Formats: sequence, C-alpha cells, structure tokens
Amino acid sequence: MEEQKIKQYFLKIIKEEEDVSIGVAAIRTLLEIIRQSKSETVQELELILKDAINIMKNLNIPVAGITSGCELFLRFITLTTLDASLKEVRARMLERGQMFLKKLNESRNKIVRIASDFILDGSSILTHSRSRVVLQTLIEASKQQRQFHVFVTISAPDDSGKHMHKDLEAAGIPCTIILDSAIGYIMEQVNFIMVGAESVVESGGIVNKVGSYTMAVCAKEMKKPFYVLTESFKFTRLFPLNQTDLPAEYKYNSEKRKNIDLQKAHPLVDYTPPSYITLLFTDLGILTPSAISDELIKLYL
Amino acid sequence: MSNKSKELVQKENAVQAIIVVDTFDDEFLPLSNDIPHALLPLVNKPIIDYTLEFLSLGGIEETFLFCCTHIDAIKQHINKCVENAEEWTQTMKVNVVVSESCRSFGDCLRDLDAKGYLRGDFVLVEPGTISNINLLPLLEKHNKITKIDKGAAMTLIFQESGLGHISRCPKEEVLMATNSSGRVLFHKKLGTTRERKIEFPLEIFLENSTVSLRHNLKDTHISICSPAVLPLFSDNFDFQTRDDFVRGLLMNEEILGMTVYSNVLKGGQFGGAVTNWRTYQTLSHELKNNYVYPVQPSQKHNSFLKNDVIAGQNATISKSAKLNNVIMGDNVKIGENVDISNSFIFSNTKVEDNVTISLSIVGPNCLVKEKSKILAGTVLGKGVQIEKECFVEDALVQSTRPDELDSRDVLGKHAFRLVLDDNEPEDVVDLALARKLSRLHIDQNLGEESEDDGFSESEDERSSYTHSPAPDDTKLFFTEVIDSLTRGFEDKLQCDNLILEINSSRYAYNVTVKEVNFFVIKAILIMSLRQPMGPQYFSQLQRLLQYFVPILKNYLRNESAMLDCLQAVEDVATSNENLTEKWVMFVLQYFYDKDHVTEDAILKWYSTLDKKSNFHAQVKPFTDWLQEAEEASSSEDE
Amino acid sequence: MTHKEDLSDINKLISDIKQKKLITSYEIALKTEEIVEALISKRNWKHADELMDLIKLCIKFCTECLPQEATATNIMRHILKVIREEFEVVSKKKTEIQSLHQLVTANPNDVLDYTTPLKDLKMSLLDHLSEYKVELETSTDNIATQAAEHIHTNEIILTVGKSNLVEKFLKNAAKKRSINVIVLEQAPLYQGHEMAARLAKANIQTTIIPDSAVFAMMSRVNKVIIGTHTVLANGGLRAASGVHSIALAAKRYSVPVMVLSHMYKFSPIYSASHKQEAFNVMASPANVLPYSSGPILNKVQVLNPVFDYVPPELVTLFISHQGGNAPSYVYRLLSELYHQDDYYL
Repeated sequence: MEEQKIKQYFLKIIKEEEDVSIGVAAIRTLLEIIRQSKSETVQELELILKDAINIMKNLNIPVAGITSGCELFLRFITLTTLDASLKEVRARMLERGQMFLKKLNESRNKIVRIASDFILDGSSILTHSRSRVVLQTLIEASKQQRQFHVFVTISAPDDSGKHMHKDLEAAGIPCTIILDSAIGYIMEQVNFIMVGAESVVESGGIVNKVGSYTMAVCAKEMKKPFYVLTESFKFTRLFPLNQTDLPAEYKYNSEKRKNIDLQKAHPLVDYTPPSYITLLFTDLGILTPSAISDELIKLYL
Repeated sequence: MSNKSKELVQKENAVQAIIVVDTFDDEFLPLSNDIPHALLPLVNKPIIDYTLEFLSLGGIEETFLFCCTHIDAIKQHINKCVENAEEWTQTMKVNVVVSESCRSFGDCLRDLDAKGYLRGDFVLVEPGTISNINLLPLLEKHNKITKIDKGAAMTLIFQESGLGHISRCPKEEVLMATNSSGRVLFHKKLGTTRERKIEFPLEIFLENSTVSLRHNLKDTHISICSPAVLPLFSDNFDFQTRDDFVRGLLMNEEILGMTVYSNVLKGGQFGGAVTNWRTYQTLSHELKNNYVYPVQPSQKHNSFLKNDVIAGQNATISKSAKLNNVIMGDNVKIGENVDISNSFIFSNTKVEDNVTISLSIVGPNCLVKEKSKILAGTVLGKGVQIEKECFVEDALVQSTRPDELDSRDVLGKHAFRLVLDDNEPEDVVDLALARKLSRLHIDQNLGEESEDDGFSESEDERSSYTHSPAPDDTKLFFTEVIDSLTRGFEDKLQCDNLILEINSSRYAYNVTVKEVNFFVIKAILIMSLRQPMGPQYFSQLQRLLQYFVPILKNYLRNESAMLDCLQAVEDVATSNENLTEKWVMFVLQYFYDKDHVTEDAILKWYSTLDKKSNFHAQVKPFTDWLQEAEEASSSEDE
Repeated sequence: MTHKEDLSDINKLISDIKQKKLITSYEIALKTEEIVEALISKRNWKHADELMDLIKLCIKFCTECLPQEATATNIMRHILKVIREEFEVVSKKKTEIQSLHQLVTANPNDVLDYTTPLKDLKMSLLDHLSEYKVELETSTDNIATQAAEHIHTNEIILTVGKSNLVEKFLKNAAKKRSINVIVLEQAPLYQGHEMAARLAKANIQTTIIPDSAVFAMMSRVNKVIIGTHTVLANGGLRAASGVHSIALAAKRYSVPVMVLSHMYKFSPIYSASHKQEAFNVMASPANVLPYSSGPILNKVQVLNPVFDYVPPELVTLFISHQGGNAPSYVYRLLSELYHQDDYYL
C-alpha cells in the first residue's frame, strides 16, 4: 500500500465513522495493510507497518491514540510469529488481528456497564471535551431512568465540548455548557468528574485534552472524585515526569511541529499525574492508578 | 391437611405462633371490602409480610394463619411467597387455617382449640401486628413464670411509649397495675369507656407489697400464651377478644385460678399493630424512620424522595407537584401542580392536574380528576373516580352503589359516600367518637395538646380527655378563647389586645366569623359558670360582661352577629339547668339593656326556639314583655 | 426444582446472621467455609462448572438477602478461585487472569473448559479447603503476633468500640511492652465500655473517652488501631459509624491509622454505586432517642447509621495475616484472593 492510500484509508475511517476512536482506526488501517501487502518476509512486513505508523502520526491528528494502539498491535504481531510460511503467518495475523479488534470494540461496552453504576440519582457530573466512552456511559445511565445533570466545558481550542453538549441534548440528558475558565466556579456544584483519556501512561496518570489537568487539580482541592474512563488499548509505555516531558508529537500536531516555534504554540494535551485520579474504569475492571503500571509491566516485561 | 400434620409430628419442638388475620370490625371500610386487612399495603408491602418476617426473625418455626374472609386472596399470597422463596419461608412453616363460621377473635381461638394443633407455649398475634421483638427470650421468661406460678396463662407484651407520642392511639390507651413479678393485677383499656373515675380494687394494694401503676404503655398486640389459653376460650363463650379474656381472667381469678403477666419492652424493641387508620399512619411513619429495624419496607421496591415521600415502582410524578409526607404505591401518576400532603396513595391510581389531597387515603385503581379537593380523613375505596372540581371532606367513598342510598351521597358515577349505620342508638356517641379517634392524626401538634389536656382534666376531675370528642379545630379555638379571656380578666389586660389575640387564633384555626361570635359569648358565659350558683352569680356575670364590653361591642355589630350571640346563650343555658331556670331572663335583659342585642334580633331568635322546651318557657315572659313594650312605644308614637 | 434444597444451608446461615446467632465476622467466616465444604463433599456435582454455578447462586442469594454482609460472600468467592486453581492443577492447563497481557496474547482455543469432569478434583479441593480452614482459624493469632512489630513501648494507642481482633492485638502487645490504650465509647451502643473493661482486666492502662473528645485526645496519641467491617476495593473502609471522624482527626495530627483486618474482609466492591442503599444501613433510632421519650418523636427524624465510609487516603496501613499493606495495594490483594470473573456476580 502506498503512502497516499494509507492516508486516505485512515482519514476515511475517522471522517465517516464518528464512533470509532483514532486508535482503533489506526489498527484497522494496519490490518488492511497486512491484508494487501505483498511483502516476502515477516521482517519486511514489520518495517512496512512501522512506516505506516509514522505516516499516520504525521497527519494533523492527535498522535497519542495512534501511538498506544499501534504499539500494542505490533506487540501483538511479534508475539504471534511462528515458524511457518509467510502466507500462513499472514493468515494467522489477520485472524488474530480481527479478534483483537473485536475485543477492543467490546471493551467500550464493558466500561459503560461498570461506570454507569457510579452515576447516582440526582448527581451532577462535570466532564471535559468530548469523549465517546463518557458520552455512552451517560446515555446508558440515562436509559436506566437515572436523573442527573451534566456540565460540559467548551474545551478550547477546537470547542469539542459544544459537540458533546449537542450529543447529550440529543439524548435528552439535562446539560449545561461552561467556559473552560469556569471549572473552578462550577466545581463546588458537581459530585464528581468523569473524563476520557487519549492515553494512559505507566505512572497511572493520563494524557488527555488540555484542561484536564486543571480540572483534576481543582477537583482534588475540592475533594471531588476524578474518574477516568478509558479502554485498555490506550495504555502506553511512557513515563512523563511533568508537562514539558511529554513528547512534542503528543502535544502539537505535525504541521506546527514543522513550522512554528513550539514555545509559542498551544499544547493540545496535558498530563494528569496519578495522584489526582481517583479511579480508572477500563475493560480490565475498575483500577486504581497504581494498578496501571502493574498491567503494563505484565505486558512488556 | 394430613400431609401437614405428619410434618408437625416430625418437628416436635417447633416454636409455634398463631396469627389471626381478620379484624372483625369495619375500621377499614370501604377498602376492606376489596382488600383483606392482612394484604393492605403498608409502605408498599402487605402487612402480613411484616408480621411473618417478624415471627421468623423472632425465632418462630411454625405459624398458624387463621383467616375467615378473603380466604383465597390470602392463600394465594402465601403460596406466592413460598414460590418466591421469601426469607421467612426458609425458616418458618406457615399453615393457613380456614374457618368461615368464625365471627370474632374468640371464635377463631375456640376453633383452633378444637383442631388441637398447638402443643406447648405459643405466641398469639393479633391482626396487623408489626414488630422486631426477639420472641425466644420472652418465651423462655414465660416458661420460667409458669414454673413458679402454675396458673400463668398469658404474658402480655407492652412497649414503653411516652405520653403524647403519636403512636399512642387514644382508642387503645391502657392503664395497668402490676406487682413486682410482673403479674397483672388490674388492666383497663381506657379508650372506649365513658367512666370519669377509675376505681382500683383495694385488694390489690392490700395483698401486694409493691404495686406499679402504668399508663406509659402501648399495647403491642403480641402475647405469649400457655396451652391453657385455648381451652379457656372454649370454656367461656363470652370471650370475644383478647381484652375480654384478660378482663375475664382478672375478674374470676379465684374461680379460674389463672393469672396474666406483663412484659414491658425496652431499648430498640418495637411492637405495634395496624388496627385503624390512625395506627396505620403512625406505623407507616415508624417504618419510615426505621423504628422496626431490621424489619423494613422493601428498599429495592421503593424510592425514597425528599420531603418524606416514598414512591413505588414506575411512579410518574410531574415536576411541579408539591408532595409532602406522602406514601405512594406502584404505577401512580401524579399530574401538574398537584398538592398532596400527609396522605397515602395506593397503587395504579391516577391523580390529574391541580388536585389537592391532604390527610386522606386514596385506594388502588382510583382516578381523581382535575381540580378536585380531597381533604381531612377521606378514604377512597378501590376504583373510585372523583369527578372534576369535586370537593370531598371527611368521607368514606366507594365505587359501587350501596343498597340504601341517599341522593346526597352520590358523588359521581363511580363514587358513593358510604354512611356507616350505627345500630344501637345509645352507643352513637361512642361509635362516632371512636371513629374520630381512629381517623388519621390530623395535626402534628395535636399530640402535645392532648397531653396537656390529659393532665389538666384529670386534675380538675372533669372527664378524661379520651371522652371528649377529638379536639378539632373549632374546639381548639374555643379553648384558646377561654384561656385568653380568663387570663385577660384575671390579669386585667386591655380588651383591645384580647381582641387581637382572639383574631389571630381565629386565623390559626381557620374559624368562620359566625363561629367566632358564637364562641366568644359562649366563652364568657362558661367562665361565669365557674362561679358558685348563688344569688351573687348574676353580679359576678355582670362584672365579667362589664369588663368585656369593648369585646362585645367589637363582635356584636350586626343582626346576624347578635343571633349568634343569642344562640350561644341558648347553647350554654340548655346545658345548665341552673342558668336556664334562674338567670336566663336576666342575661337577656342585660344584653338588651346594654344594647348588645336589638329587640328584632331577640324576637327573630325566639321564633326559632322549640316551643315545647323548658328553655322556651323560661324565655317567654321576657319576649312577651318586649313585644308589649314595642306595641306600647309604637302606639305612643302615634 | 433443586434450587431450594441447594440453598437450605445458606438459608440457615442467613437466618442465623439475621437472628444474631452468629455475630462476629470470624464466626460467620468459619460457618460459611463449613457450609461450602459440606456442599463440595456431599453434593453430587459432575464437574467444576456445575459446582461453581452452585456457589455463585449462593453468593447471589446471600448478597440479595444481606447486602451489607461481605464476609460470607467473600469466603465463597475465594473458594471459587480455589476451585479454578485446583482445576488448573488437576487438568494441567493454565488460564490467564484478565489483563492487558492476556488481551494481547490470548489464544481463543485455550479457554478452559470447566465442564470437563475430573476425578481427583473433589479430593484435592477438600484438601485445599481444610488448609484454608486452618488459615482462617489461625488468622487472628497471626495478626495478633505482629503486634510487637507495630507497637512500641510506652505508646498511646487509640481504638474505638469493640473488636475481638483489636483486643487480642493489644493484649499481645501488652505482653511485651507497657502500652496505654484510649478507647472511644462509640455511641449509641457504647460497645467501647465493654472493650475497655476487657482490656483493663488484662492489666492494660485503659482510658475511656466520649466520641466527641477524639479531636482533643488525638494530639497525644501515637497510633490509631481499629478494626473494620469491610475493606473496599479502592482501599477505603466500611467501618462503624464514627470512624471517619477519627481518621480525619488522625490525619490532622499525622497519626498513623492502622486497620486490622482478616483477608475475608477485603471485598471487590466500591462505595459509590447506584445500589448505594446497600452500602449503609439505618438502625433503629430507639438507641439514640428512646421510644419512650414522648411527643418529641413526632417532630424529629432520628437517624442512626451503622456504617461510615472512610476514604483510602486516611488509612495508613492494613494489617492482615500476610503482613502490612498500603491501601493502594489492596487491588493486588484482591486479585490474589479472587478470580476476576467472580468480582461482580
């Protein structure tokens, strides 16, 4: 598959299928590449995949989801290498790749199921930006006849909160859109915070849309639980020490990285350290931040 | 039954209990026509479920459920519970015993005696009992007593409950005397007696070194019985209720050689029974407040909303509805701007927009249409439909047409007022009074009021407060007026202030102007009656009236007010022979002379009087004189 | 339907707990273990799957009837894990617990089939369970022997209410060191009085204080040692009402809070779920305001909650028979105790 085709395939998924997260889109693209590839050896195939990942990373799209998803997928591929003919290996890879994808798709439902139990009658919830899994969890709780109110931040610079607000209203959930700068103001009124994540790092902290850290600090000060809803394929081998330690490719899209002085650019994401997170709801169950590193160590040791 | 009795033999030592589920009275009409008392929902769970849960938790292993009416419904319910493997079915065996011929509690026990199911000491539970008592220690204690006193037949279980507590149903007030070992020497239910004095037999004080008299007790309707109890019922056909039994045993202690003991619960142990709407209300309240813990209303089934509101499953409540202290069943629909307070709404009932309901019970499957008002102690039976803008107050309403029907009692196509016929005329007052006492507790403050009354009245050696009609609003207003005036007269307060005071109580109790006039005059006259009935009586009355001139002037402004005033005179006078015979003329004369009442008013009032009455005769000379005087003056004018 | 007969033992257990014939968690734990052991040895089950279904049914029934009672269900949940392990050992197959690793490496073909009948399973299970029973029986002593590691000479220890485990722990410490114990009386049941009496009998310097004095006394306390009803999955506690305020006071004065707990008190549940009513119980208010108080009761609502939720950040250390663990490590203990598939039934 050529570069252009990869780009097209990847962007098409993102554009047309609203419900699919970037990580899954990237994995699907990789699967398609395997399907179409004419490479002769496993090593060659791996190289092609790595190239494709780089291509996807350089599109103007948040890179966090792509990195973790693809990394996991590669790990998955390498763990399956068998001493058989390439054809067989490829067939096996495709089969297992589909299975992997299926599991990922199921994971969101699992999170929705366990997290919606935490939404109590009469609670008010603060959320940031737009997260598909948070949205679905809220809708699920609303379907179970629970009465609650949601506050959504506008979430500059892309105003994705407005999108979230629209979706919530369409689902008939009472919600209010608030300024990003009003997080402190609203905090006393809410019972807990529920956000998604672009990736979960080894410390148990999360990388998410810029402003999440502000929210978490505020929540900690006002002693409100800060819940993170995230699929396990977003777990990443990364250990940021602070905000500047986050890789630039996470914080800025590729265009900016090339053209602008990064000191002057707005970061797209920030890092929320584990001490601010109460619980993470994942398809592996409800985890405390300290359990995350356990999971990651088990995989990569 | 043979199958069951075989099992009985197997479990020789099972602890047994008897529940009689029929009340044999009409307290819960019209609802009791459709729903047996045992299945009446209390916080959305049938009463019998609480009773059975209590018995199983209390350590009972075998229960005889005795029922005479609605047999199928009860059997079906018990079978359903067994099918659903309710908790109590796991540790307790329930046998439904049926006899349609029984007409009283006593009959049931006689029937049970004939059947001979019971082997040892057992627990006797009256209908509607809810409790959390651990029965095993009580049974043990009873057993110990029977070892010492062979004649001990029954231990009555009471719970301590302070005066003025809402749970004390005035109908069930108990006065009891016991000796140091808890033996009951004297037992009297005060609620339905009309005696003003209670006489204790002297023997009880002579024969016992210590006697404790207790009035701070609430009957739990649970008793521990020796095997001798059932034969005693069989031998004495006049025993209709448990109280009859206790009375009979105490009266014939020497003849029967049987004794009754009592046990007073303390701490977290609770017991009570739903015997009428008032106890229904208080027990709901206590269940809500967890007093019967661990026996509780179903947590899963109910949702607990704010303002003491409990709703069953699938209840639809509009946002604009104002609810306060309401218990609602399943599938209840509440419309916009509905105002419900202190009421019970049963399952599948729909309340449309702008309806007001207070202090009432709305039965299952009812429909209350727009803008209706349902107030003060109303009970709607099953399936009643209240039409638009209907006003119902203090009535029992059923959906089917009764046999004898007064046209006034038709409220709609599916709503007929039910009038309970009271057969024995001399008992009318009693029954009406009893009914009033068993209605919903109207005012939260009432508890206190009646407590105070209880003290002052017993001191004054007047009637005990349980005899006086239940203090309704006007009655409370009247006592307030008397209090204000007495204080005003004694402390020489400004009459203007007294008027203010009376007016404010008037608004507090929502009393009409006519009633105010009537009660103020009545109050003054009643005050005067406290003086000795000698020759100086009238001068005393004059002093009173003189002092209250500003008040009289304030209230007696027009002819209708004067008529009210005269009616008050009549009212007081007819109830007091002395006043009628000696003083009524003078009183009227005085009012006339001081221009409080006009001649026209007196004559008009006089024409309404019963010509044959003694009072009429007494007033006649005065009115005759008036008429003559008028004729004279008019002829003079000419 | 065999359903009813299967549950008859469990029913007995539930009614015993309800009728307060079994009071302490230790009694409940032993009884539950006995019941399951009897179930395994006497009941005619064909394969592990059937047995597990049976136990799962018991757990469900137990949670339904006694939503607050975690001990019995935890014991059964642990036994489920034991069955799974024994099955693996006997059938010589391995299964992975749910993890990221498993997500990546799992092969759809090696899902364990518990319906395979195994001959030796019953015997090895019973062996394992008798070991487990010994573990339960010695748990208290094991915890108590650690007392000397945690309590130093002349320390002032604060505790609350009555707990057999804490009592034993303190007595054990007092054997070697002289300690000073402050007991909170714990209104409205005042179980602290009994605790203080028992400690005093063992010649421990004991002081009893009202609950309201906890803040005033905390400044001179060296350690807070308490028992708990349940340890939640996030490391928080469901403990007797009043413990939260003690933990807060301890935090204020930086006094370490140690929680003694048997392994069976660790539960895979969280405090905030929509089945919130199941978290706490309101007991009869009669102990707070006696029923005989009269008309005042018409006007006030009296609440008498049984439990407090204590957030994990207020707990310093859990001491179980395996030693001390920080609250953040509870999730790990849980994954060792129970199989993940059995967390939520």
